[in-house]
Amino acid sequence: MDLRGSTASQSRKKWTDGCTERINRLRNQYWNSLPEIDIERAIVYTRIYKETEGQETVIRRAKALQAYISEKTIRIADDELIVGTEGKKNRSATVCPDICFRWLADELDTMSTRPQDPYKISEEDKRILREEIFPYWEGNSMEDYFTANMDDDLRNVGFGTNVIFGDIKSQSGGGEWAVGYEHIILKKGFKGVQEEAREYLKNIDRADPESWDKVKFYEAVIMTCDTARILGERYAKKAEELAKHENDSKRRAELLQIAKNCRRVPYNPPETFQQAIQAVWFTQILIWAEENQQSACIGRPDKYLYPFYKKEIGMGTLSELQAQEMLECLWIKMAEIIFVVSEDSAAYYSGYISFHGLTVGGVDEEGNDSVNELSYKMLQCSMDLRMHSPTINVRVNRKTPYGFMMKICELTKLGTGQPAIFFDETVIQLLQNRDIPLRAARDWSVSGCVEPNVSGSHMWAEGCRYSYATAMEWVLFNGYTKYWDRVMGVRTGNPANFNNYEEFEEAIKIQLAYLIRMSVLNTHISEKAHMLKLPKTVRSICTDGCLENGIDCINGGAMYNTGPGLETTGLADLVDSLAAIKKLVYEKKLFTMDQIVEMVKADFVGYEEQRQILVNKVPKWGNDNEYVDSIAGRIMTFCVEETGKYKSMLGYSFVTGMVPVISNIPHGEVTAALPSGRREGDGLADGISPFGGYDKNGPTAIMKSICSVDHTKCGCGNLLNMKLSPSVLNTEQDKSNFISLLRVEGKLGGYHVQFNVVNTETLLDAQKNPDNYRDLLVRVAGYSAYFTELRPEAQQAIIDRTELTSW
Amino acid sequence: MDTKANIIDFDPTKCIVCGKCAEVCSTESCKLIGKEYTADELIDELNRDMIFYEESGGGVTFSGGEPLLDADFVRDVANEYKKKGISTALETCGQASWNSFNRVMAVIDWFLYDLKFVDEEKHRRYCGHTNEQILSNLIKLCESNEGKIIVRIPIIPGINDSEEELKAKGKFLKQRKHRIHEVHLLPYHNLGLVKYDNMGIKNKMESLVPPDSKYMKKITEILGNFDLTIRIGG
Repeated sequence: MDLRGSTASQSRKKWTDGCTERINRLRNQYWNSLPEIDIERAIVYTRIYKETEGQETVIRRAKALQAYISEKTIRIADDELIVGTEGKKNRSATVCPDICFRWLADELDTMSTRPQDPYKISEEDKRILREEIFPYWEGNSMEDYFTANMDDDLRNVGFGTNVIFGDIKSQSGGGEWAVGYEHIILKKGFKGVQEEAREYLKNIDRADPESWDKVKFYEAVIMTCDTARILGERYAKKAEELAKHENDSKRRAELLQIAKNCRRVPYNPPETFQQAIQAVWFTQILIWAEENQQSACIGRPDKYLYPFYKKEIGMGTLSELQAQEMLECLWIKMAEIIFVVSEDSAAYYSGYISFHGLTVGGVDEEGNDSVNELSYKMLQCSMDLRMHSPTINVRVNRKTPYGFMMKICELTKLGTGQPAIFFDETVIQLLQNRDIPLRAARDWSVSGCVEPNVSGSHMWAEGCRYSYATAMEWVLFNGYTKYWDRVMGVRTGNPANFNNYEEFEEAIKIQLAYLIRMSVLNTHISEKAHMLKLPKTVRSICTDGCLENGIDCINGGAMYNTGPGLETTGLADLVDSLAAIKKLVYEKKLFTMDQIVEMVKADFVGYEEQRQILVNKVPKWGNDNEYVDSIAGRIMTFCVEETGKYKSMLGYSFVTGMVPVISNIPHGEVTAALPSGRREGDGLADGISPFGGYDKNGPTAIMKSICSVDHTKCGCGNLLNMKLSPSVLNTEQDKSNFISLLRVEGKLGGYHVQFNVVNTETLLDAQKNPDNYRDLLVRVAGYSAYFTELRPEAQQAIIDRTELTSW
Repeated sequence: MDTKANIIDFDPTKCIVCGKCAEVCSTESCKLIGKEYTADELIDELNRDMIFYEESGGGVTFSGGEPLLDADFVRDVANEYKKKGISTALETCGQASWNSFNRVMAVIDWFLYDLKFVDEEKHRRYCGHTNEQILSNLIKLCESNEGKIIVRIPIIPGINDSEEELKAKGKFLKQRKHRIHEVHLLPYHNLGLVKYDNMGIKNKMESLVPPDSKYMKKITEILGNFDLTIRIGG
């Protein structure tokens, strides 16, 4: 079987050491294993569903999960201190036909050789899937509900078009949330949750018709808590078995300790640092076993692990090095999780990325700086390991100590694309705008690429995607999409008939409103599909409020609910195009509207001189230029308000934000040329960033432009990418300037920034000689990926991002 | 200007900087470098990044050309920042009237003063003019107690790096070392070569090689004997 690049069979040139040799060995184990399809869960779920026909879905799923956990292969590898794999081994790509299976069926014979993120699969597994699994799920998967209930209008614009993209929620689990470790799992354990559930159940009058769903919910919770206990016990048994046959006394002692830990957690609350980490890891396994999804983030581990660390350091039962090592074990574990996606989706989420993340730094509920020794250690983990996952996010604010800012600088300089940096004051205000009270808002963490959440909040962050640039194409072509050769947008008329710029901008708004509306309709179906087919018991246990309310998070049981998010990209493309039309068509009258339409229709072939004028003689987004920034302000305000008019299936207002992941590439592929000077099919600008190469006034100007938008009104957050040359972070003065830049972005109300610190020559060389750059990590969107594992278009997009070479 | 099939023949000796060719050039390969500002217009432009100056402790540096040829303009703009407590700096080659120094002294915190040669004959040969006024201005500036002074010495291999010239510089500066905050040695680099191409001028010293760090260390050692605080680079 030929796997493209055969990346894993070559030994990776290691850049740096883990904190111990054990970590190096564990990391090598990771690199030497390829993502492989795992059908154990699919087999068990199919069997249990068959056995439970007619029963409530939430009960069926709780039974299926328990059966899977009770029967799945249990494996403990050499050197592990934190144990557990979601599938039968590390880097298992666990398929969930209960969620979706059509792309799986279509791609069985191509998935091991597809250009982006291939998965290994055995012939026997293919046979089992085809003969024994898929037939059952025909018409029964969550995705089938989604596609069967999509009407023709929506299908025209949103099904397989890449104009509106909502596949992710119709093909995967919920995702994008912050798991409630501090208040739930580490405090009560699943045992505590189970006891509470039993108590609630006892007090329900089953004859009350309102109680039906609650009863089922609590029954599922109780069963699932047993499942958690079973998971721990099976690993304890395995560890004891291995210890019996272990000749090395040191390893035997480790295995016996692991067995002890697994007998305790995750059912009971942990007592030690290692147990706390193990409890987190087991919970993550349960979460991912319940649904393959993206971004079940582990919240703020530097905060909730700290009491365990402090106690043991004080007692002398844990050394600093041991603590560092255990954290690095957790890091490697987090990298092992695979978010299983179709070939189409892999274009949106390139690089085997599961958005498995965590957040360090920030403030506590009282607003005091919460940076501690673990915050530094966790940055150090990412510096030592330099893997694409987990995604490490840092919260900075006025109180963040200078030493921590310097550590952030050091990690940034390594050029792995980590960390992503967030500005507390803006985020906390944003969450309050989402009706989350101040104390809870202060405890926020990243879930997804850049979306802010608190444990106990529920938001369908990535409800649906669209790009702003589409509105421009539709106004110019009267609703027609050139790539698909059909009308998909609104017929706003011949743009040559608009008398002035204001009328043109109004037409743009009509198209944006339509994109928003169709995205909302798309989202409603995925909400409904999940509500019907995929109740989420594990997730509800770990989401503050659900247990008390007796309601699954998908049905609104969480303490704080926000409507779904519409995630967008290409602001620069739209506003740069609007600026061009305003200046050159309506003000200078250098071109007529007909000429503009002609040029973009022809993809500028024969119009290169005109294209250069469009590129060079019009102000562009990202240059702190009022002419174009004011256009962006109006567009953003319109989109935020328009989106907020719509309500989710549960009655909460939709929110929006510029979070592209890497959607700017596939959206761009189906978008015509634009008056900004961009050519047909080229990638769009990512998130709120300027279009690659159009920002010419340095990082301070980019920040000023970006901060002219009110981020606190964008419920999903806004993503800003900047590329720096490593020479910009050499001296102490350079680092001090970098820190000043960050502090100013915070002062200006910025939301987020992430840096790629690699020079263009390195990237070009990596394209030509991938073998020398297997370790080269770059920032894609809300995550990092190995550059050589990205397909050429994604690689080019990263190269094209403007490289800043001076302050 | 002769245009044939979109190619423009450009004779730099005839250019009157009218800017018309730049206006019509869509790709900006013909570009007018520089823009005219009144003091108020410049202040508006600089103020856009005020929040960055405040946060980083940075400031405004006047450079050129020779900024002292517009001493009043420099003074008016620098004054604005001096008032706000933002640091101001002036890069100068020293070839200007002492009066122009006087006019800016009160509002410039840092003088970054170029010193190419102490030797008058060599200065005349390589820079085309005597260095008399340059040296006397520096002496007066040191005597004046106004502003902090950083002396910048470009190190051009084979031209101004003889032991004799270096020692002469050292001696000259040592006499005023109480007024000289630092001496910056600027190794020759070739990033400016593209300007010759842009102007259609031949660079007679194209073969000059930038000095390496070992070489710069040697230079530093020689000057180190003169009790000065030396930095390599600016």
